[in-house]
Amino acid sequence: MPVLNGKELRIVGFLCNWCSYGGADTAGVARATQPTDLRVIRVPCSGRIDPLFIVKALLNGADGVLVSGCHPRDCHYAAGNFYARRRLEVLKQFLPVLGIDERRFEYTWVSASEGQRWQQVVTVFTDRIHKLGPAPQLDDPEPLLKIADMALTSLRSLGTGQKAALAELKEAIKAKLPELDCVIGWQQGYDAAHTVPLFMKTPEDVDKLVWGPFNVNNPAVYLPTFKGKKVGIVVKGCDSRSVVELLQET
Amino acid sequence: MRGTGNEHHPLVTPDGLPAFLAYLSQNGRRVLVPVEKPANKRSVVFEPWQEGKPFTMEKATVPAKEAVLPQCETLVRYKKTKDPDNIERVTMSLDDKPEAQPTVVFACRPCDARGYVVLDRPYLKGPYADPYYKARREQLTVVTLTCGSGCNTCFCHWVGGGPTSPEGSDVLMTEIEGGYVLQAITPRGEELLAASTLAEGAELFPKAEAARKQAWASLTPAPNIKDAPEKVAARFTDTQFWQDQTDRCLSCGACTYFCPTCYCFTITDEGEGLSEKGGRRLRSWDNCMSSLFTREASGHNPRMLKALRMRNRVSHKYSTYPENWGAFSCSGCGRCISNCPVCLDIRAIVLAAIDDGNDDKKSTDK
Amino acid sequence: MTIFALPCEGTLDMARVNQDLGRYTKIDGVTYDEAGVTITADGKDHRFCMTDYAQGKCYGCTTPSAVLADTLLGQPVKVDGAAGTPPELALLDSMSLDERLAFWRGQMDRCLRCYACRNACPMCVCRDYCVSDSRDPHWMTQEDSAKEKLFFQTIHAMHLAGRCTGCGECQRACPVGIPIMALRQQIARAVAQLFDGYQPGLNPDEVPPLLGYEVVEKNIHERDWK
Repeated sequence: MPVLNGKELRIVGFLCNWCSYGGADTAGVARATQPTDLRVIRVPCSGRIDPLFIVKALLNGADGVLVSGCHPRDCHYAAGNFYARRRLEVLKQFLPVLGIDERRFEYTWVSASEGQRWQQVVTVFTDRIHKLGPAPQLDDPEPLLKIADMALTSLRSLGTGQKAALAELKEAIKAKLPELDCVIGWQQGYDAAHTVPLFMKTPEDVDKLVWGPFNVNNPAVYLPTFKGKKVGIVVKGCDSRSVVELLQET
Repeated sequence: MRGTGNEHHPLVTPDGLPAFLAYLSQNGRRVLVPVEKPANKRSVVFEPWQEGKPFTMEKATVPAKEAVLPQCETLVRYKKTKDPDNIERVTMSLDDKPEAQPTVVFACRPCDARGYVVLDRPYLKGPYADPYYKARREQLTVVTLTCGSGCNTCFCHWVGGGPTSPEGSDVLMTEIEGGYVLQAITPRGEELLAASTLAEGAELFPKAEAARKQAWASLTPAPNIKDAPEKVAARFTDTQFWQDQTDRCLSCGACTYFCPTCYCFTITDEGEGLSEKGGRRLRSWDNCMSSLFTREASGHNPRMLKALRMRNRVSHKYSTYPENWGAFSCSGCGRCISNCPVCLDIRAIVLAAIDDGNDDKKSTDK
Repeated sequence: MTIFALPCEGTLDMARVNQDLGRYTKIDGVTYDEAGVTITADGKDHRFCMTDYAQGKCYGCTTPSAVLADTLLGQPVKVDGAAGTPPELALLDSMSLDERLAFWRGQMDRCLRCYACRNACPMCVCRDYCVSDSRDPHWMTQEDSAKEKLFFQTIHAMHLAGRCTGCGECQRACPVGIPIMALRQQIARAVAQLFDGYQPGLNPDEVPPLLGYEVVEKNIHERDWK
């Protein structure tokens, strides 16, 4: 299928060296005709492909990006394309929030013997990109400023924590303090309407602990710096999720 | 606080501001005005004004530093071309002409204007002048709006500035009932006002002076920090002090990028000389709070600890810059405090350093 | 590590509080009642009710009591219902594709790449070795174009895929208030949709979905090339 009116769009292809590049070769050897918009970049495995390659290509002027690897279960490196499949599917669902049409990115599986399939994939994809036209660039549109609507109803009761067992908590921390290098919490900041993170090492430090609606900081951000040390942390609900996620990764 | 002795004090009404801006925009001048950016956390940034564009007179979230030191500028454009007859011969073309456009910064605050003076010293008054900075600075006119009152993180009067300080400004504007009274501070400012067609407001100048007095009265008294240079320097080896002061710092860069007086930069090369577009040498803002700031080519990093980086920042502003140039490099605008995600307060650090008697005053409460 | 917790009743959205407070020289004091706070600034009282001024993330929070704690003092907070679409993501959902591009162009114009968002993120454990600072591989230039800044946000969001717990610190830390949570929320939504409703940060024994794989994926299907 010829390119429309000699106008080529810029389509980048990331092909895995073993299956897809071989498949493209097979298509070439068989003299299959296909649009020439696609420019191929060879990578060792589809698992090598960082989704950011695709985003970088699209943000820098590519009109379309095609990724091709070995069929699942046939990866030359056993599991590369399994990881790729997950990452690239997430990427495909992420692109629309940036304002990029997710149809401009596609990933597929083409094996080394599937020359005709390669021809079909390239032709169909190039056609699709031509129908979508050149990609809009970030600098083209007039800036649009909109504000999120914050008129929300809460799933649980919101308050100021006045009835919270703060005194009991301070005692519990003081009791544990001798075994720990430090306990992270919050204290008052430069005025009564701001709190800042607090690193409690002595009982006097624990007395500075505050609890209330100004405790916006997430103390879990300091946990990686305490690696190897015995640390305690006071958490709100959202902070505890960060702590759990960090635990998942250690 | 007197101007150049010329008692011509035009008055601009709020309705007359767009016309005044149009006057300022004549002769191809770019006029940077504070513009409100609506968002769930609104901010105010400087943007070039055009006819009909809404603007605000509030203190901006970002300082007006970009007018003289853009976040990223091209120092040199280079392109290599191979001789088609002899491919071993490569010609290099270089373009290092500083690009500058006549600019007016409108309605910045005295703390922003002081930033220009602070930057002038290392960029212009050192062994040799930076041509890129110079080109921009020479074509800059600063029209400053004096503050009507302080704000919760302002401390300009601690460091030698003030809500109505003329330092760095060509024209001062002071809000009174019914409009803004203008006062020329420099010959350039005088020229600007003389050629305008604004109504005369000299009889209102006393009201402006009263407003200025009131602004000063709204500030909490400044502590005496004239000993700060020696006291901060004396803390140099006290790493524990700096660690205690910075235990919550995240090493981001909000403080340095939003500071009117921070001027460190890095130079990087982008692009490929042999390509069609050629290459560019870029100068961009750098951030001494980031851990990679002092990393050397060998991989060694003298300031790997964030305590040492904060020591460097505070020492630069309150100790080494004053020793070199005779003035604090901080302008007391307080943006570092209000923009810091963990509310680190440079005022508390300086006071704690000065307070060398009482070690238990290390808390960051004011 | 020892975790101490109290049941959380929400935190204030200081951006909106500051907007309503306006410019002031001094906070005289803060008084608390069960439903909200009264901030006295320069002698004037301003009341902020928690139901109106809580942070966006608090309204849809399903884990107000710590999911994991050694010491949890107080009755766990009752949560009624399931979380809907977060406000920032709902804003993006309401826009067309072209509008979104224009939106990010407008938002990224004022980004200064201060990296407050990156450094405030508890899941950004790379700390001093972030790829956005590296010259080799060279992901980003030093140019201050909206494109580079949006690309940085993409790097951050993608590296947090399946790991971001929606704590909102990135957006809160942003000095110019760019609603970057929307990008992370979209990825979290995609991950939940593709991997059986997976929510990061609930179970310390789970493996984040993008760190593993299945030979046969339940929700990912091959495409037709007709």
